Amino acid sequence: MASCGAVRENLTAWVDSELSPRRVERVREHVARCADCAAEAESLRASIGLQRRVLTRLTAVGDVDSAMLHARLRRAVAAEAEPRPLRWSWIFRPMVLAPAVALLAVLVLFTAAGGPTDVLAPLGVAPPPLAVKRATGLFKDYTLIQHLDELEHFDTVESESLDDEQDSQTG
Amino acid sequence: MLAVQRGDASAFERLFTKHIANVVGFAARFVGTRARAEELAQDVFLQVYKHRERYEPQARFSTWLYRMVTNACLSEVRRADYRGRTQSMDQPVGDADDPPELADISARNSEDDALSRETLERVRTVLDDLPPQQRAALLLARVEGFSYEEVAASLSCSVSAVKSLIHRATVTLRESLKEEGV
Repeated sequence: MASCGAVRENLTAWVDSELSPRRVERVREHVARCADCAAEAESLRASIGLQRRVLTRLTAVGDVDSAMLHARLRRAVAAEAEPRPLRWSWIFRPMVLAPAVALLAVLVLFTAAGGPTDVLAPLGVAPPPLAVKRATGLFKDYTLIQHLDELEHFDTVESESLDDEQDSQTG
Repeated sequence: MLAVQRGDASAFERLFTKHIANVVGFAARFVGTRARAEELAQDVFLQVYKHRERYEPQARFSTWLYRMVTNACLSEVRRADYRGRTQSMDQPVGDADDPPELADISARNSEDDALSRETLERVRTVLDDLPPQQRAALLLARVEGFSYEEVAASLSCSVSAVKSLIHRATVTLRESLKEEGV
């Protein structure tokens, strides 16, 4: 026989005729032998009837002006159906306009200065060239290589500057 | 509802007239005031009209309708500013701000029912204190006459969850009625 606890969980549904046939049989069998559960079922049955009446009264609003409410609804439906005019006025609010103008100015300056590579590369923000990315080991001295041309002519630079110094001393 | 789907405006009006009072009464148990309940009901019917194409005839219209009503009510309860905008549900029946239709419930029906105003007030307090899902399940089953399956469809939960919700709410309400000696 099922336990009283398990049966009581099902008693409300049983009274409401909402149990599956298999469970109905189990509950009926238990209630037939258990006086406490039978009393509980009877108490629930009586209370559910009373609750129906009380709750129906508590939710009965009465005097609903359905014509007025329907007219209001019709207006709302009509308003929904109308195409809404685009409202651009919000664009001219200072809180929106000022940051937009500032952003536009930055973009114009950025483009005029040569685009992302020309502006960002000197700052070290731009990504490295693809060849460097692919062979990072090979280009670990990339910064040095960038100045290779100057280093190749370092002697000339040095000698030229020395000659200049000597000329100035003799002169 | 099928006529509404075909664009029959008078069919929509008939549906509205048939259900509006019950929807307002149901919503009032969640939002506290008659005025707010009417607003909410109107919003729901607007949704019904807008989404009429989504209705599938295998479900009862009222199940579909109360799914929207319940969602709207539970959302309203969840809103943080809910208590600020509506009257406290703890106020006794008949307060100045109380909707007269709710306040006069016991007076209007006193001839055909021996339930006292105090009993109704007590049950109302207990009902309003129930967790919103229990309250919704109980009202749908006891007032609207929904089957557990229909309640489950309205609350978007399982039938076994509904069984538990209704059982707990029923027992709580029974105890409060017992205390009143009813």
